[in-house]
Amino acid sequence: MTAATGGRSRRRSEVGWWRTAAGLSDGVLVVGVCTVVLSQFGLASIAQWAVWETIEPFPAGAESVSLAARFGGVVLANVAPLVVAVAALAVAGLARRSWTIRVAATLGIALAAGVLRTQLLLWVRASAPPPWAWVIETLSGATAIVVAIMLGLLAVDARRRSRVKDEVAAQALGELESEEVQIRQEVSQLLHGSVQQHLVVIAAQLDHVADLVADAGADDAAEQVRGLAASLDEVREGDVRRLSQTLFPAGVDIGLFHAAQLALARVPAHVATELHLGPLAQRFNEITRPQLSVTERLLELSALEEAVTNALKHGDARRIVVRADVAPGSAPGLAVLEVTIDDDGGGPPTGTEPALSGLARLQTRFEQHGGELEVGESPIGGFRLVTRLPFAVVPQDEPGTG
Amino acid sequence: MVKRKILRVAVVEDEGLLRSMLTEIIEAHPGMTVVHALPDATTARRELLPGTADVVVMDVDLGDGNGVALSVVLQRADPELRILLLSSHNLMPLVLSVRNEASSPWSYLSKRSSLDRATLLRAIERTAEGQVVLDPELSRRAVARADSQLQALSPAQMSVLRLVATGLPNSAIGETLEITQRSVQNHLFAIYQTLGISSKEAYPRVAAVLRFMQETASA
Ligand SMILES: Nc1ncnc2c1ncn2[C@@H]1O[C@H](COP(=O)(O)OP(=O)(O)OP(=O)(O)O)[C@@H](O)[C@H]1O
Ligand SMILES: [Mg+2]
Repeated sequence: MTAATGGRSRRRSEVGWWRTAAGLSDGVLVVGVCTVVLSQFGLASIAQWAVWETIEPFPAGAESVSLAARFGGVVLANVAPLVVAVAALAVAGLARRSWTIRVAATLGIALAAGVLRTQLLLWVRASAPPPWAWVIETLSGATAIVVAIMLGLLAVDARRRSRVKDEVAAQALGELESEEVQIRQEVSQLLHGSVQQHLVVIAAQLDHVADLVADAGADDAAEQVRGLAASLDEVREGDVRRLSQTLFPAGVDIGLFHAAQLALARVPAHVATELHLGPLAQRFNEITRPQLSVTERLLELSALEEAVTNALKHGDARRIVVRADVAPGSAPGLAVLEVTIDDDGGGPPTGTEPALSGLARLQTRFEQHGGELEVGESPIGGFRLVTRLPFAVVPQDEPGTG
Repeated sequence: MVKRKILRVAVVEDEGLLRSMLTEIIEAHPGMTVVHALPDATTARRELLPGTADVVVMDVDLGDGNGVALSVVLQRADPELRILLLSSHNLMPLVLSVRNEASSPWSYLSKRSSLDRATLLRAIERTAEGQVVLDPELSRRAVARADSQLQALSPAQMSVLRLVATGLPNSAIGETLEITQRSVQNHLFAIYQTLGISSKEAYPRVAAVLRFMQETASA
């Protein structure tokens, strides 16, 4: 049952298409759009010529030219303007110019290529048509070229606008993320430090009060006060420390695998735990050159935490096995971290698809980072969670940012 | 009488008050001297040159980086250097997760639970000897994990191993548990046997302590 992440693959393929379009240079995009439009126009023109060839006897004087040559001439007449337009576009670099220059240049190119086209067609016809026919043929060719170039330029502009938007959004997201990391760390430290310390002091004072009360002979009241001190300690140990830990897991600034090992050490003792690093993951587990941003590490750790909590809560698991490895990414300098978390508990519920809650939230966060989540049955008997997260590799010679 | 070599200790700690307290405590010990008292990673990289110290007492959370990565870097430059980590979070399992990158196993004390004078000095001394010392409070709370070989140890053996993990010598372990040194020794051999550690190994105690760390849950 890997269907829990339905809709994922569709969205991914749309993204893939857009990435391909986004990867083209502006010049290639204009030329591409131009070619598509002008090919359509050219094909229509050739089709029209074919119709004429069959229903209208060829004008006198043209018999010396063979049918094949006449066909070639018509094709050439329709390809030549395209070549001229593309060459002119490339030379003028229109995609980079202002709209005034774009319009002026486009009109010039279109008129020149339109005339060229008409002249080539005349060569096939071999006799002069009436002037109005010459004008109409030229104008229709020129119009097609204007439309083609304008569409190309509009496509470039549209893509540029969306790119700027993407960049602004990515930058804003990046800033938000680093701000979030900082706030998490600060709040976590505050909880771990000051708040805990206050609670310790209050508990100690309560204990002291209990002693005084006991000395005064009110043993019951003293017991009550001691009870209060004890529950305060529980709140501190349980809630405050755990909250601090969740906000900023211990060791997350040192490295992902170190933090994962710390997290697994906290799994209750009745559960056996294993952490295995594949060969590439081991090479990436270099403490002086930590991989992944702190945000990405926090994401991976929250996946581990969710999987462990689920294994204990839903599966009553007795064994949790974590495997991590790294695979090459979609581009040089990119890699994908794949983490598989297996448990030997009850496994996914049979029959009905489970309603995802924690896992759904996690999936959204992974997708925001270009990653994905997969759930299913584990070969060791219970539930399996697989996460994949692309990351930019910190190269060997640069010191890491741990 | 053999005159013992004075231990050269470096302290890397970003909190000024703690740094001077540590320095004072160590300096007061006749067998130790503080050769460096440094506030951050940058200064430590610059000043803590190979061969100038025997043991570093290293805070994990430094203002400009983490003491774990710094320790790895320092040990690479000077494989003889021993590391004693200090932290206010419970990061004891780091002792395990860095063991492939460290030239010798590290010791760990928590700033929170049990950082008293005697514990600190003993930890420095034993770490310099090549032993691994774990935080007494955290070791006391550690519970053997399901399916681990530690579960095969008897309660008495487990108590001995806990105390070994805190760096106590056999004599002190015997005193604490009110048994003879001889029985401590016997328990130790039984522990090595159960855990599959050869007692001819250079540091069988270290191997046993690391297994203790590996196979317990940190509460
Ligand atoms: N390790 C597991 N073993 C057995 N069933 C699991 C396991 N993990 C998840 N499930 C099933 O998948 C469902 C969805 O899990 P998910 O983590 O998304 O939500 P939840 O745990 O029920 O709620 P929340 O995460 O918000 O506490 C669970 O209700 C459970 O039926
Ligand atoms: Mg859940």
